[in-house]
Amino acid sequence: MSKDFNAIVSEYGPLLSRIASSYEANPHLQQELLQEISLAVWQSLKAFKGNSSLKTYILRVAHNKAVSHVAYHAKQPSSETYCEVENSQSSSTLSAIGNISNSGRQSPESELAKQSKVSLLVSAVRQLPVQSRQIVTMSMEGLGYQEIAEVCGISSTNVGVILNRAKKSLMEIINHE
Amino acid sequence: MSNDDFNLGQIWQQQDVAEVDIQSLKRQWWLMRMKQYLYMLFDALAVIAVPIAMWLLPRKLSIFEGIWISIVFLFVCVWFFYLLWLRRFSLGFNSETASTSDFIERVKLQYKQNIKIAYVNKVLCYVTPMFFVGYAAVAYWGNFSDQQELLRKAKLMLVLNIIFIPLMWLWMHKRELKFKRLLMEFESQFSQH
Repeated sequence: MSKDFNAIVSEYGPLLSRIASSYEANPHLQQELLQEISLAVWQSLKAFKGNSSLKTYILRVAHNKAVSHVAYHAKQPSSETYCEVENSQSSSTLSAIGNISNSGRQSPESELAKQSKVSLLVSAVRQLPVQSRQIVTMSMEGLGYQEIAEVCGISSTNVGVILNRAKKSLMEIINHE
Repeated sequence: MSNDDFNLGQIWQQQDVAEVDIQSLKRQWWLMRMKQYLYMLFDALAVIAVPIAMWLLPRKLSIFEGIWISIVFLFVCVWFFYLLWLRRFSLGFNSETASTSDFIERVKLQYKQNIKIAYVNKVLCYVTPMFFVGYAAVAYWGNFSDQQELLRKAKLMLVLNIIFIPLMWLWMHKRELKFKRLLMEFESQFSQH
């Protein structure tokens, strides 16, 4: 394994994890998808010519791998039904609150509110159609219209339209919760 | 909850993240390479098995058997290249780095080709017994083989055909149905593209 890949994992690992979480709710399947995505990124690095930014390139590879994952797991039971999801979210929230309380940086209430917003948003993103989900996650990762258009193979005008619709749907889902 | 409470990008970045297991990646990478080498080895063996057999056993084969095996070998070669032609989309395409629209089209195409490959392999199940029957008939009517020896070979061919051909047909039929289902599900997932 090259040194470069280790550096890339430490820099882009959190981004890859967030992509995995937008496709899988179950923590075990999420970890599995993260590994699949990381392997795909590793394999594809030798083909990187520098025509786009490394981040855009990695996101393209990650989303394509996630599309394959969606195709393969299409008939699997819905990940949302696994009890570990709730347990994991509750335990991470509780441990986060514990840590914050101990360090005295933020009140448990504000931490709980933050975690609640995060859970709402991630869950709402998973409910979006795959293309909208892809576009909205790339936008939240800081990519511009042109870069997103390049990854998806659609026009930037189309990206704008889909992104606006997706954000509207997200807010509707979140407000409905 | 109002829009002001929800700065999507900022909240998105605050979620808990999992860590990549680098040791497991190394194992997966090694396994994947080994599997690819094995597939290549099996493919190569399937094609070169007949010429090797002919080279090793030239004295034991009659002229008729030599011609028959050569015809089978030619047929296997044509079949091999036809399958290669059907797989051309997945073989010559860097799917990971294509744009998502292209990637989705390629995945669909790959499913369609897999359906076709399963179908043509089912057809092969009908053709294979004909090779055996043709061999036995020509050897019998043309007196190219000892009758007792021919009867022994015919029994062996019959057993092979009764056991392996239906199993192969069933396996390919299941694959054909599986890829049809996967294609349908995939198309419904990405119908908005």
